Amino acid sequence: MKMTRRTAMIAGGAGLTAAGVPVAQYASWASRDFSRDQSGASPEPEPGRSSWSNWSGIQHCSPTKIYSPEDESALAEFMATTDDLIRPVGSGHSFTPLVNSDGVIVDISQLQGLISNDPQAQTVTFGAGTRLRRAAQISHDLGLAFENIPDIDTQTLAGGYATATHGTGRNLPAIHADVVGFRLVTPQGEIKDVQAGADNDLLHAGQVSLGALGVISQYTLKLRPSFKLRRRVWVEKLDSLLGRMNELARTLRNFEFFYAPHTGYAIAISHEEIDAEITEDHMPAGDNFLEDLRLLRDQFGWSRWLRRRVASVGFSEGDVENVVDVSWKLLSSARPTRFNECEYHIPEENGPAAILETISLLESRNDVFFPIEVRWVRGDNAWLSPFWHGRDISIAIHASVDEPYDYLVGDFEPMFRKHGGRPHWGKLHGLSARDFVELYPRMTDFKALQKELDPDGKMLNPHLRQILEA
Amino acid sequence: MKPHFDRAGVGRVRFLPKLTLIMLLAACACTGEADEKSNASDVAPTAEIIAFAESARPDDPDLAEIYERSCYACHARVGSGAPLTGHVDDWVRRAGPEGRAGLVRSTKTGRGAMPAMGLCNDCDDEEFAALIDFMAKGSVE
Repeated sequence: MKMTRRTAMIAGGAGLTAAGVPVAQYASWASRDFSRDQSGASPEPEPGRSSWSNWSGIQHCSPTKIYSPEDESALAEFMATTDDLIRPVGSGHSFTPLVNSDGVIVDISQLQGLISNDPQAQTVTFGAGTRLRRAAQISHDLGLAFENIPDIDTQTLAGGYATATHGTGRNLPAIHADVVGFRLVTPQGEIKDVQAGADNDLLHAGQVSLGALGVISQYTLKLRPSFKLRRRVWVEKLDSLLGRMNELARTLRNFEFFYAPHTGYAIAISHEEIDAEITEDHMPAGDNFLEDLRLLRDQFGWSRWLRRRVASVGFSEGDVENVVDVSWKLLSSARPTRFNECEYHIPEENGPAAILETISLLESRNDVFFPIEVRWVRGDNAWLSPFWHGRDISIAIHASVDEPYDYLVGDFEPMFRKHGGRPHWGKLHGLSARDFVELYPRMTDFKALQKELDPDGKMLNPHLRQILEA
Repeated sequence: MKPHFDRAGVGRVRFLPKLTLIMLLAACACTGEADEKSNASDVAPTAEIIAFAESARPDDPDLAEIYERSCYACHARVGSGAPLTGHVDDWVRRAGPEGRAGLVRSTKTGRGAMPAMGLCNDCDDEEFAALIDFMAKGSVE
């Protein structure tokens, strides 16, 4: 049987009438268009120029060219001889305009793969354009593993580190903490070989660099022996999970949860290190959860009571998945559903209050359906790490790529800031230089170093200037 | 495009099918979206295809280098939304009547979660076509 959406709505309305539900309210809601105006979102590039856009499609620009160097020496020569604005790009997964350039974009994806490894020291050197998943797989073949991996692993190492990308784990730092050395091609075309112990200032500035110090061509990473994990995914009532989340975060290696707004139910995920048989043929999960939540919003968003009731009938508490595999295969996954996102890292002691306020703010809107994601991250020493010398709870809020997203910053940022939060560098925020000087004790040092390496400001697009210049 | 959410098994959480007694949802389940889903499940990859996608590489070393850095992260992973390397039925379905030329064109402009130029800004049309031939096992003309 095939029905159009209109026929379905009429049939649905008839059903609701029979059930005594106010049809007018339903009809008004069901005929609502949730999408945002995207006309003119991707303008045609000017003749002779290239075109670039980020993963979610909200950032785009027309650089004079996208240059993809074959090796480090070609990159160095290019940097030395180019006077235009230069912005490096990884996989384009940032939502902020870090990459946007009306000059040149340098795509580092040819600078990739294994360069060398030291089995004794458990260090591996990769081209900076190596994508995380590939780097994890190569490491596994060497008997090594990343301590932690973010939930998306298609980013390049350089893109992930430059924006302080992170996974979850109260005792696990963000991924840039693995970096013990790198080679930086400065805006003048000079190559600096930076090693931990020899030049710690440049190391800690370059671990999270926003691509403002030049273009990094390779990274040396301190890894650990390969290991296996047991991944558990379960559904639990939100109130119950909130009551024990601190204990779960303290006792589990990796713990995080999603909360689906207007449902009362959370989905929790844990990973624990284990030496057990790998689960045979565990197929990746289906792909319908978000679609279900959207449908729930579309059909029942007009009545909070009904939406919650429908969710409570539908959700089953308990285990959804329980599998064992090597770490890199379980810690991350593809995210084919595109979205826009804001994420703030809140000092752990303020995190629980911020989580409650986030839920309350989000549920003050009936049109939301995308889950909130809550993770834990240990601090580190990188100058521009949002986790600098602390321990944070990261709260992420999302909007489907085809729907409005401005409220993610406008409505939530003041609350996140009230709780002492720092925004993820690659996710939507509205802060500027004055805010960042207050939030980052080493920001003044970073700016001085940036100026020294890039006196002409070749690496600074308007967004970087907004971050670095008062 | 049909949404996916394979975040560490979260996609396994499925709750609405239980509510088929609610007439409203029963009606919704009959929309075109549901038909698309059943089409997609018709071409679900087998365990052999998944194993092939994880291990296969183009014979040409230059093409293999591009494949590993630009295609592998999504086209070798189940649930990414991209057609798997070696999953011929899915490639044929997605190519449609426009065939390889249409796929090259959508690679250059971007499609779904794949950005314009398919994470290979230095690739030309010939290389895109060769990569598509490898991933589709020559099934798309």
